[in-house]
Amino acid sequence: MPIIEARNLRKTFAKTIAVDDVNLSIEEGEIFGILGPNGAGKTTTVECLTGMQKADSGHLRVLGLDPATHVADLRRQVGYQLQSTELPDAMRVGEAIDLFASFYPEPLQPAELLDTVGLSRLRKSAFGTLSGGEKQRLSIALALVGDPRIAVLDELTTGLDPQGRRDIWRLIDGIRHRGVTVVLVTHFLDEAQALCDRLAIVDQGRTIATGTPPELIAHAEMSAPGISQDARPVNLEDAYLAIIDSTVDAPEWKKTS
Amino acid sequence: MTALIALTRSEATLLSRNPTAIFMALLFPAALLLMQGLVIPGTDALIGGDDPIFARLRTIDLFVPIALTVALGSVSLTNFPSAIGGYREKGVLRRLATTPVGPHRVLFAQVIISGLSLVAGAVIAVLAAMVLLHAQAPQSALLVTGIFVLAAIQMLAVGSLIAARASSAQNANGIGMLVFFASLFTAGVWTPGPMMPEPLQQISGFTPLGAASQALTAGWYGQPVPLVPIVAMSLWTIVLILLAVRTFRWC
Repeated sequence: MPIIEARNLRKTFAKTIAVDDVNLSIEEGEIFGILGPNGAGKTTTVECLTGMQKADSGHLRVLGLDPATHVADLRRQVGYQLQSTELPDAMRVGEAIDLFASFYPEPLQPAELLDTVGLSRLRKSAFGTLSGGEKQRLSIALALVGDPRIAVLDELTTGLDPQGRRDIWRLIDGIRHRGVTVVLVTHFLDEAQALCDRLAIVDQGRTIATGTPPELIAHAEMSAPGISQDARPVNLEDAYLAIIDSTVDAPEWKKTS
Repeated sequence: MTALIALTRSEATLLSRNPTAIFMALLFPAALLLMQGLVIPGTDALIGGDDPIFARLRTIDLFVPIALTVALGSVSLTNFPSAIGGYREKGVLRRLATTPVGPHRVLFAQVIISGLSLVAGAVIAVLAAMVLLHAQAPQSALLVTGIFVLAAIQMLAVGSLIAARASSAQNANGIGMLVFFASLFTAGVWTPGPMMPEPLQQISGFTPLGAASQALTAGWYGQPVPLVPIVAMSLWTIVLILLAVRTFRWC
């Protein structure tokens, strides 16, 4: 049984359709990527999955529970690293992790977790003095401190330098070995290719393709048979662009060129 | 419960690292009082006049209950809303909403710390007045304490309404300061007791901090139990809390 399941998920805000028709089936223990351009509905999708937003319609199950009615249960078992949230500047790293540990019935050892994310040496540093990468590593630690079965990580390397991104990637890879299911929301293709077992491409509120990175590359080759040999998708980035393009009506000039 | 204790401790730690907030909470009321008592000439003279109670008092005596209203206003209208505005701005409220404790507990924690710090500020101001300005002790300590508690809840309710909508710490601080200085006027910081013109006194008595000031002054100097300002404060408290709850933005 999948640990997260969404069928025909739909969510609108006033007049905008944020999520039109999203379908996901995520297995326990995998790193699952939700990939798509900015504004595609990725964050709204995970907000519905975690009970932060109530879906308008569709069938949703997380750990076998309906997020709309079992928010409290899911809060204990799902760690959520939100896009761009901060802590008070004067709060120290060690204080933050101890505070968040106190929110959960059976938290992990804060000291060990800080060690895992490489922040032990900064225990006494104030949040306001941390670099972008250090803040993100702390944010991941806070999402994991409750010993969740699922960790949702939204845009976790946006704004980091290449070294910082690689450090975070290694860290996420390490989480896999704890048996935590990771839902990774990103618009970086190299990140998705490096980390994800499977991924879904979401565009304009719809899941337009799902599979492992090699499957998506093969899928893109089939959906764009007309293109010349050297334009064939060889990595996920090419495949992604081919898949996204094939769902958009090609403009006039593109057909003639 | 453990989470609320942990959050309250964390709020106290953060306050202890914020010099501006410490000054506004603990020292500003006493400093304003001492400045009025020691620097402004003539505050040591008897007020005189017809009023049987005020005639025996020095101007500076009137500033003691007013200093309590300064303590009430500075924490409730500046420290408290800007802390919550800052949490909204930084996404702390949203982040807490994803944990089992939810964002409302950080509000409780902040109310507890604000309550404790405004009581501390008031105690420091009263001690400074009694030791350095030889001010009188209150006629009815019990009545003054009761009025102070009601006024504290009322002023935190005013602060909650600012905190409910402010999008950032700076935004909350701006609105808070504006309300604070308007409130200090109605509380009689510049025109204490009988020095405020009669019609203005009447109007001020129906504003939150003006009612607090008149009730505290009456309780302190043994005038009859100030029913009108007590009723006014109770009504403000109910209305403001309902409004704050209805308009509070969690993210």
